[in-house]
Amino acid sequence: MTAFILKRLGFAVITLFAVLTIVFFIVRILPGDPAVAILGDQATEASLAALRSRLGLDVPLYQQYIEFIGGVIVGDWGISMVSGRPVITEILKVLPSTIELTVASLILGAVVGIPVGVWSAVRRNKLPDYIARIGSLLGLSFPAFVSAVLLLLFFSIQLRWFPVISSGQGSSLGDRLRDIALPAINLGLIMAAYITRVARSAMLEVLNQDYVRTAKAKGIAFSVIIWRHCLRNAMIPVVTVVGLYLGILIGNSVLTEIVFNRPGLGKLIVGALNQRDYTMLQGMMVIYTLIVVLVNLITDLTYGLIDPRIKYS
Amino acid sequence: MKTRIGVALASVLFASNALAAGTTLNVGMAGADAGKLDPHVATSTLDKGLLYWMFNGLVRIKPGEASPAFIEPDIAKSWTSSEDGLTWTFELRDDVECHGDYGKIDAEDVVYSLKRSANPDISAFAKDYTAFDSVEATGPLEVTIKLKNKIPSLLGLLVPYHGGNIVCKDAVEALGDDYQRTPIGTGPFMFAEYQPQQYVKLVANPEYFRGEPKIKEIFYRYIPSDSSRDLAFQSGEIDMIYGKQEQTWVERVKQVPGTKVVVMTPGEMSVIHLNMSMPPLDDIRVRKAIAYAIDRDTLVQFKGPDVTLAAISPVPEGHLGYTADVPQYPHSIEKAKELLTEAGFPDGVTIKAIHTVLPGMLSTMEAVQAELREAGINLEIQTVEHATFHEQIRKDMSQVVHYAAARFPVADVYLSQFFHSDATVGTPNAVANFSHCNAADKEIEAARVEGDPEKQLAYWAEAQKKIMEEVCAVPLVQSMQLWAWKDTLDLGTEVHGSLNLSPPVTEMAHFTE
Repeated sequence: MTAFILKRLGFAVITLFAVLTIVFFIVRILPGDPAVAILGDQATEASLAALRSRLGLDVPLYQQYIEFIGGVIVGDWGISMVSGRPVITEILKVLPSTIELTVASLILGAVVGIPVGVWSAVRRNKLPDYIARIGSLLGLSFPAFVSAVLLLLFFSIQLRWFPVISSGQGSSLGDRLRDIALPAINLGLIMAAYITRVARSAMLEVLNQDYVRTAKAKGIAFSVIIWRHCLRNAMIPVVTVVGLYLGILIGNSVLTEIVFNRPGLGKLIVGALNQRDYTMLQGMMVIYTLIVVLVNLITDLTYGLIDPRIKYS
Repeated sequence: MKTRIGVALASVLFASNALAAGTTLNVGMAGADAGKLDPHVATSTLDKGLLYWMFNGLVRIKPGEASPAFIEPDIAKSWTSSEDGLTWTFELRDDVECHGDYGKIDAEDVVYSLKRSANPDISAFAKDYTAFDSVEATGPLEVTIKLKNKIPSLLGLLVPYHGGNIVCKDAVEALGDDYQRTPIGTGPFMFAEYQPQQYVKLVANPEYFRGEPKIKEIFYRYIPSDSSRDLAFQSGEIDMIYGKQEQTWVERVKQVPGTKVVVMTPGEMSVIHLNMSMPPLDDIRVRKAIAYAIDRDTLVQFKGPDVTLAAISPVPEGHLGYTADVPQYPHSIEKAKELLTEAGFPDGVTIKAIHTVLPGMLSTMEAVQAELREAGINLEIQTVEHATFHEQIRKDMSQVVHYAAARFPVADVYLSQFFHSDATVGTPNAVANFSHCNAADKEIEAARVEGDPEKQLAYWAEAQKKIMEEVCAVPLVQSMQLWAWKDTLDLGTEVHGSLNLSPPVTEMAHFTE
């Protein structure tokens, strides 16, 4: 197990290095000048050149690259070209909000998706199954920003249960729950739609296995068969989907953060892209890569917990 | 028991955290986050709007107005100028306190501040101050500015806008790099807190020299989604919002009970710049054909009569030096076709434009495209992301450049930045002369140093005529600045305009309920 984890972490370092290299060059190949973004459209070419020099953008690309990689290794991710604040500080300020939203959505998605998927499989081709399938299809089809606006219209404007914008001042549990409820529902229901479909198909496959038929013949209660024997075996594809979906969840969180006006990595990356904030984009990519690598590692380790037959070598 | 738990949970969830009314102003601004909050560096509407409430200049434009015709004392209580207009002496007030514990403003602070604005290594607006020969403290509360040559509006450079914002020397030196995150000014409101991607909180400055503000707190909230901003206003969480430059926005927001929608100057001027260095636009007949093919009245109807004005001259209406007495090209498809035929394009012509994906600008350009098509002019629009657009048009890559900009409301600014040959894209001093226009260099330069206001106006008028005669560009419309606020918020003045593009929230602003 330890060897497996170390091996995976070794691969993670290589992946991180490759991603950073690609991102470094891609952001610089993209048209768009950070100096214009910072000084505005009234700046003369001479002022823009002076700023490029201050930002270190006038030195050869390979030199910028060496400095960047050197900085990453010693933990110096640079200063945001636009705000002038350290990249790491900017990211760490909003990272907890994104993690909070992602975890809340994952929990909501799993809590709703798994039981509905199981229920749908057990009642295959009956009314509950049709309802679950149509519901999950709707969840998958709805763009996150549309469902977000609909949630706001209904719960914030009509019912006035939740605020339209995050108060940003919430230190109490009540304020935090109020702030996160609608964004988490928005992302969680999409997540639930994915999980429902995967849980249903995995469950259907397991329900046709010989050991299920044997358990039924032995007279074991149906609920015990489902929850103790079938569900555990059906969980591996679900866990895989949850792991893979995290990337999509981060993507959808960009829109969700903007519509619900929550702080987070999504808003940060959109601003950095618009303003060609190279250092910020690079820092963000380090974080995103780390998140994906870690989630994949956790997903792989979870397989062993679900199915003891899986051995790590 | 279950009921009690339910009630407790509901009370936790739905307990109102409604923001205090009466002395707290919640502002919803379009944007994801604060940029640099140093007034000599901040260039975005987002940042300038906030800094407007925190800083003073030597002079100011009367709150609620945007024209330099309304200049009045601010930190300086009086000023004199020499007969040749090259030496200006300002007497400062003795009761202007810097925010925090940075003491009173004196002549040293003002000298430091103006020199900082003129320093290209620090300031984004250094080029505005190149005519400054010296800035000296000639007394504890007296500052003398000497100019190398006359400039169109010295006082315009000293209002609290861009480099004219006066910073406190001790604060800038003590805070170093942190100054761009903790701005210290002398205005009615003081910086208190910054929450990333959420808000900047300002508090009333009790020492403000015009009196303590009635509003005690301002939350300047960053809400990038237009729909969320509108919904937050509708739900009452926001008292004042930045609007979209669309007729539908005005009509929709007016429906919200107790709302005041305000249209402000300066307008953002939309102009089609025609690159005269590239065929077929090097032929004036083709350029005139384009001018005749565009119907401004239809564009105004399309963009919304409440939010746009037809533009006639390359200088926006209402700006110092504007004239409507320029060659005009009334809409005529026949005339456009005749000119194209004369130019050797009887079957029409194709021209290309690199254009931003920003929806407000793109919709205008698509309307122009449809109008030009009627005259046989095929305008091919290549859309690129906004930062790419700015880079490519400055590399002289587009035959047609659609540009929308709001500037300091003096004719010289528009004429110098967009139509003087020194500002031609691709040259070392390039700013935004996308058309390679050089038709009025002489008049633009003469107006800059002319001491007689009448003659100066005449030069500017002549420059506008020549630019329109050459059809370096086709002015389209002016899109006005839109804001809405609750009608219980009284800003203490009628609001017609604001140079910094945000409404004047001063010591006079208060809620009536």
